[in-house]
Amino acid sequence: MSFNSIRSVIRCNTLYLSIDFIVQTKKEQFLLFRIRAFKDETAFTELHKNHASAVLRFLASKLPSPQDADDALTATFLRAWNYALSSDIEHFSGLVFTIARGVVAEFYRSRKPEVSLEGLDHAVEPLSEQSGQNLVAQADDAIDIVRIRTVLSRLPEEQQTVVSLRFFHDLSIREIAERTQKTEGSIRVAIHRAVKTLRTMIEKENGL
Amino acid sequence: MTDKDIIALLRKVKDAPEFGGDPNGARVAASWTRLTNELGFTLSNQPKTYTFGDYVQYATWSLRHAIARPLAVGFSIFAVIFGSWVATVNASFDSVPGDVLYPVKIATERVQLSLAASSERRARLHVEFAGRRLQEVAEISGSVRGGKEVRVKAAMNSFKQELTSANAALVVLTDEQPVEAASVALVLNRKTDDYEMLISQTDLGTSDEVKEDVESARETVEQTNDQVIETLVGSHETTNEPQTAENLQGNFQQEYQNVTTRIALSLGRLTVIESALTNLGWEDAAAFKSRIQSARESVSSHDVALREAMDTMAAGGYRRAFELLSAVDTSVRQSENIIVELEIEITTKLSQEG
Repeated sequence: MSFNSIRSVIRCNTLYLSIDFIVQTKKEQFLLFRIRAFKDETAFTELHKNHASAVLRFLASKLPSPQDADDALTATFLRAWNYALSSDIEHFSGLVFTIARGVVAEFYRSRKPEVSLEGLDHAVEPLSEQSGQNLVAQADDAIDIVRIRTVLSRLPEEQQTVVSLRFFHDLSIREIAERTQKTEGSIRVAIHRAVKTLRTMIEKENGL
Repeated sequence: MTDKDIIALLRKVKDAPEFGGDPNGARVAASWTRLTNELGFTLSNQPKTYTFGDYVQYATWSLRHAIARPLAVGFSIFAVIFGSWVATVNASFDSVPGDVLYPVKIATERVQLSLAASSERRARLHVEFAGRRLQEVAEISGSVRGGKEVRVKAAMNSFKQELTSANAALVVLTDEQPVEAASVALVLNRKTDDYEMLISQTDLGTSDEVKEDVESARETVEQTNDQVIETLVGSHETTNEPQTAENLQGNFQQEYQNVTTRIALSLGRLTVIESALTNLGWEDAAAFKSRIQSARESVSSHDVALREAMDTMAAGGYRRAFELLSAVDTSVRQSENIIVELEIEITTKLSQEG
């Protein structure tokens, strides 16, 4: 393939992505108009479908338990619906993440110490139904989850964001750069530094 | 351990619930079901498709929206210069709910809002109007007008609505223009102190309904304070402006003092309850005393957390410092509720014996 043809392929892809971005933005504005003008529930369903997973991951990284994250997700979109009914919104994604941050802040402000009973009923299975190997694997997984959660929380917020977007949301470097309004180069550097920091912290914990 | 091992570990835990993993979409679906029940949605099973007419409607609205504002500005300038509106508007400025010219005052405010060219301007207008509603409450309370309670209720509800709108506008502004949002948050920060003072100083009568409205207004002010802090912390993290740091420190000091004063008050109340029990000489005093001791231990256990919050604030960790202080505030609030329960039980028992 010649250099000129490669260049034209890249230009076509860039144009395609730009058009796709414009179409998505306009589609979102259309849905927000439908909600504001007609309280269109289907439009809100579409917005929820597009953004809920990302918001859930964000909330899970900030709140102590999956149940708290689920409750906060419902509260976030409840408020987003009310705002959408009465305000002009430029970027729905930005709005829900701003609301989500507020919900997290309120959670810590009003939290009462409680023991959640959800999940306890299926947390312990009868020993006879599990092989020893299964138990060891489950224990290893649980340790990995706690370890990663602990070290991730110690990273600066910017590095937490890029790690989450890259390895949990499976976004490409370009997509992360677009979302965070940074260059691809700086995203690559941030990811590299974050992974290196995580490795150092884990090795330190393991006494290496 | 290599970087590849770390990346493999991250990908391994990706789908865990603790990281928001939802591989089969069940959690999001469950959350959506709860949301639709709460909002009372009546979605049909058939997927809705939009028609060409729907898109044309949106395009028409977009176009109208783009030209309506300049037209409205031109029209209002014409009305202001050539109409008798100015005199009427001036006369309506001191009116309160129930007065003849009050609708003119409100209509003028609505026009100002619709002419506001930016989210920042709208937010500032809502803040100003919230202050006017509270001034009306103070004006009504100090006057001899008839139907005071109804007028106070109307003004108080309007105050809450304006503050909620200011809050909503601040949320939108925080997303779109963080620097301008910080500037509005600083204004709102000063105003909420004035609001709290005005609410506490105004004599609002003894009706339970008015007391409920006042309590609800206080909660709205508290929620606004939370959003202000969130905006200032977010803005400071982005821009590192000295003014936002100064305001955050001021806010923190105020909240810190509030919490430590409440701790001291709670300990004082517990001492009073304990000495009252000793004087009464009841047989079951031991059970009460054990609860008092437990409450006292809980209230006194925050020294480490408060010191950590103070140190974190001094080191510039604003978000974390407010989180720590908020956790202490919640715990002290719970202890205050326990103290109130004790006081009510003892008072009830006394009145039954008396």
